[in-house]
Amino acid sequence: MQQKETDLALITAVLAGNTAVYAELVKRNQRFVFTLAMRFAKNREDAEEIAQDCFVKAYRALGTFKQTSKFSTWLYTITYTTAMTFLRKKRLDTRSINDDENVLQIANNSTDFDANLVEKKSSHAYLNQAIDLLLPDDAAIITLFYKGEQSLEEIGIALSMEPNTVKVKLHRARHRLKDKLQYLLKDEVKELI
Amino acid sequence: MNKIEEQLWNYIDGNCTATEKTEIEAKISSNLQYSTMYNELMAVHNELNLLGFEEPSMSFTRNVMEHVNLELKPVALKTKVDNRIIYSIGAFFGIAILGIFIYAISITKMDFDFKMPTIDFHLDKLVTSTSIQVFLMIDIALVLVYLDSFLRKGRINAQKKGS
Repeated sequence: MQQKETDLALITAVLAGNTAVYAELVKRNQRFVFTLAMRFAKNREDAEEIAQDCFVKAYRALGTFKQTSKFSTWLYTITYTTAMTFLRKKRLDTRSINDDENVLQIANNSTDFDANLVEKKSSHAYLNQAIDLLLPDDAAIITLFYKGEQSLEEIGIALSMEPNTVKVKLHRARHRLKDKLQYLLKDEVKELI
Repeated sequence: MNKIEEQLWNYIDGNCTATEKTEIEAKISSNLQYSTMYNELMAVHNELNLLGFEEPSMSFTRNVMEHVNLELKPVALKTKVDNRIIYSIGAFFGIAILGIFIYAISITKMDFDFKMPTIDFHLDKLVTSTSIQVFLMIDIALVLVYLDSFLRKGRINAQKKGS
């Protein structure tokens, strides 16, 4: 509650002309926004671009923030739409690349992944890898639910979905995550879960 | 995803009713399939809760602020339309409708012969003590609902002012 009030106070200050205060809002939310962006982009450079873009968009639209929901929920809506737009653009760009090159790249990724698997033995690393293997929507819902401290209703607002749809999608996402973990860990799965 | 898993996730997330909760708790303690799956799901749930954040680069805030400084200062969206403009548009349409109405009446021939229809019903049969009681009960319920919403609004406003 205190956090929410402070966010609102910062927004009021920015709208009153003290734009330097926006840096505090960025600092406060950048880790989560970046984490969410990583769920879509899968690499740091693109995720950083998405996260930066979303903070700039939020700044431009700050006057339209109605303050009826949490600032974070509003920010995650922007992050989600920015990331989806980025993915759509990326998909279009990918079509212009030679298909053979693509296949090779995917194969290399898989090999790198197996090599990394041996190195990263911690359960968190496995979990992050499993999340990376999920569809962006599934990964975003899991991240919003567990790391964004967002209720099903708030996630629904951020993703333009009904809370019940979010609930079903969250169940399915976790089920898929469990499958991915079992696929990654094979016999070691019992050690983690 | 099977039904057991769905039930258990609802239980773990606290999205089930008290009755469902009791039922699931009983199943977890008595049914091996339920308890095994519950332990698995709880392990995933706990791991997910412990997941850390990804860290952006050190210069992230600075980069954002550099972009932000190039933007126009945001302002709170307030109505910038003069209310007098709205009222004059409303008045224009109001006068136009009234004018058309007066004109339509003035050109209408008023030589029609119209009689009000007669309705043959017995009011004393409709207005009984039961119907009056029902009517009063509905009225009281409506007053209570209105009073409740009015008091709630007052309390919310007081809380907002307090915070």
